[in-house]
Amino acid sequence: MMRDKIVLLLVIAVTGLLFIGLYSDVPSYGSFPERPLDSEIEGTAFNSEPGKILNSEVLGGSGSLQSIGQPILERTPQSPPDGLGIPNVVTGVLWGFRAYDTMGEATVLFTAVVSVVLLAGHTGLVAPCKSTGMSVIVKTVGRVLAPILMLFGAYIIMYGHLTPGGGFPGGVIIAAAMTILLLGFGLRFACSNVGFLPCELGEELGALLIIFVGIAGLLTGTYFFQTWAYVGELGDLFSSLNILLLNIAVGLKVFGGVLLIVYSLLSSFGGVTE
Amino acid sequence: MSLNYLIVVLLVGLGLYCLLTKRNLIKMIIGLSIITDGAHLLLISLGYRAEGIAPIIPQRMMEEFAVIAEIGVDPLPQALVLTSIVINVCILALAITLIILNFRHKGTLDPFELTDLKK
Repeated sequence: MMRDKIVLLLVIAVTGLLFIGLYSDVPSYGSFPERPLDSEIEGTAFNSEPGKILNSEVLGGSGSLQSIGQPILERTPQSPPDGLGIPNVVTGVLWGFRAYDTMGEATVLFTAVVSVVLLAGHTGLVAPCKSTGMSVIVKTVGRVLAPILMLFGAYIIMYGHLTPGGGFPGGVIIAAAMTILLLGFGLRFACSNVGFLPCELGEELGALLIIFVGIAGLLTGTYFFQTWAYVGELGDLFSSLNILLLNIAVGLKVFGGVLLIVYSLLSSFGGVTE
Repeated sequence: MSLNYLIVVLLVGLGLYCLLTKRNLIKMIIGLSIITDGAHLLLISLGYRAEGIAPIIPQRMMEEFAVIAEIGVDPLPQALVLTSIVINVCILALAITLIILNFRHKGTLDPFELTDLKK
């Protein structure tokens, strides 16, 4: 047993040393690697054919990691043929430059939710649940807090392309508001307000809306997830409707998915919340 | 070497220790999630720029938004970490479901009791 522990400590020490050795290849903390401007080199990520990107010297040709964040920072706020017309660059990467990848991520979430519901979900077990929730303090605080939290979640979703946030955090916040109600009043109360069926509907409508936005880009333009909807002034709430729609879709999807996971895990214990 | 990179080593080492030594499935899942946090911290630290601002154009800079390219931190690792967090939640939910089912069928959380495939 003692020998096992020593071996384990050795394994962990070697892992740590490997990490520290790796840091010699990594840009030092806080430095933004210098790179030439796009216009000065051929074969950068934005003005070359797609196949050439990997061979470009800009993306680590010299053997060290280099940032390609700067062209993205420059392009995102510009209007559509060049950029996306939104001030939030992270959302721009998520739903503009890497929208395919985010759709794959939404698919992973969908698969996980379906697996959890299939493995653990027993809708029939909600009915015999006897739990009437927690004390009056939790009930009162939950009653006051839950609507405000839901409003805040909706705000995070709607302003996802302008301020930090978006569909994923907003959906989780709304699901957290429902979870506070669930903890305060019991599983039966929560299920009678937002049941299994609305959650599944939200999850699937969100997934369909993402696919719809993608295919609409294909139909009206040339490629999947091309910007097709109204793009207004930079910084307006109803600008870049493409990304607003995608945020709303993924908010619905995450809200339904997280709530379904919580319901399924609880009902696999027969609805006992305490 | 900065503090962030040292904390990454510490988090990954601690998570690995938890994953290798604990004989409780729930604690192993906690170790897994600590390792993931270390990876997220590493990615976020890679994109940091000294005295940079968040890669979101504030209201007062809407007119000359090109300045963001000079002072913003790298947005790419942040979007990557956002993806990774969601995937991590999926993994946690699925793993905990499997642990619950295992506990209901066999009444134990010890991974060394899971020897059905040997029989």
